[in-house]
Amino acid sequence: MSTALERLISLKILLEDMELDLGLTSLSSSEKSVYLAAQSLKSDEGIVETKQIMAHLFTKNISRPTFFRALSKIEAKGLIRNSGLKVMGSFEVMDV
Amino acid sequence: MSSAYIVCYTLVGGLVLPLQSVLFPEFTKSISLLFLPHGVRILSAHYFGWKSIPLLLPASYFMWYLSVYATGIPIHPTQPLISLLACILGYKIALSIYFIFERFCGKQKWKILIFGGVFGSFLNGFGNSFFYCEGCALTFSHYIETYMLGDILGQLALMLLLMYLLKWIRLFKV
Repeated sequence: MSTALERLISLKILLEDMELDLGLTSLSSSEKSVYLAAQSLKSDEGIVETKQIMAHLFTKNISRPTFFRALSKIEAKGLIRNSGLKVMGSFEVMDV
Repeated sequence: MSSAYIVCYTLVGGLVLPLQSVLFPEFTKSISLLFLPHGVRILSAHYFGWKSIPLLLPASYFMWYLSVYATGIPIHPTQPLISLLACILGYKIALSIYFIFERFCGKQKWKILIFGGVFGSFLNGFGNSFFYCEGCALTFSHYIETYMLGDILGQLALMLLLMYLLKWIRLFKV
């Protein structure tokens, strides 16, 4: 690995440490992508379906297991919740 | 690193200093209250050590030339060199007493950079105030305090800017 690349990676780690220490992060990259996709797709009532989120630009390249893991984690964190309209696959998006 | 230095210096000259002269008109124009290039110098000291002097010296003197001859800001000719030396020494001091910080701060490198920046800005202010006011004791501490304030705030601002830039890149990366 070139030293320039090593320095860039080291800078990235340093800044991520800083972000973590300052409490400015609580979501992983895939969790953020899923939540932001849900936010951008939600209807006026704040409802979005799983298949819509999966087709979004932010999430379409995330693998299915990672996507569903991220979806259940943001649900556990209270950022989305079952809309009650369907048994599965429909969520109400909560604001942070 | 030279490009980063020039970009940060341009931001200071084009945005921070005009804002500063509007918000704090009584404050000297030769010292910025948010001097972003200090962060570049500390990052350079961290990644390149003494090599950061030849890496940043041309950009430093280029910006010094523009500041003095184009903008008319009075800056002593030795200032770019003193500032670079001060930042490297400050960072080395922080590294040499790393074991003390480690007890309070853990192993996070960014905190060492902040401490290095504080020492560096003290040495920077010390060196430059000595040259600027030619040993004048009355303004000595004032210059050190002002340099330290601008340098430390600038370094923090630069690191936060980089952190948010990284967050922004991550946001659009899948």
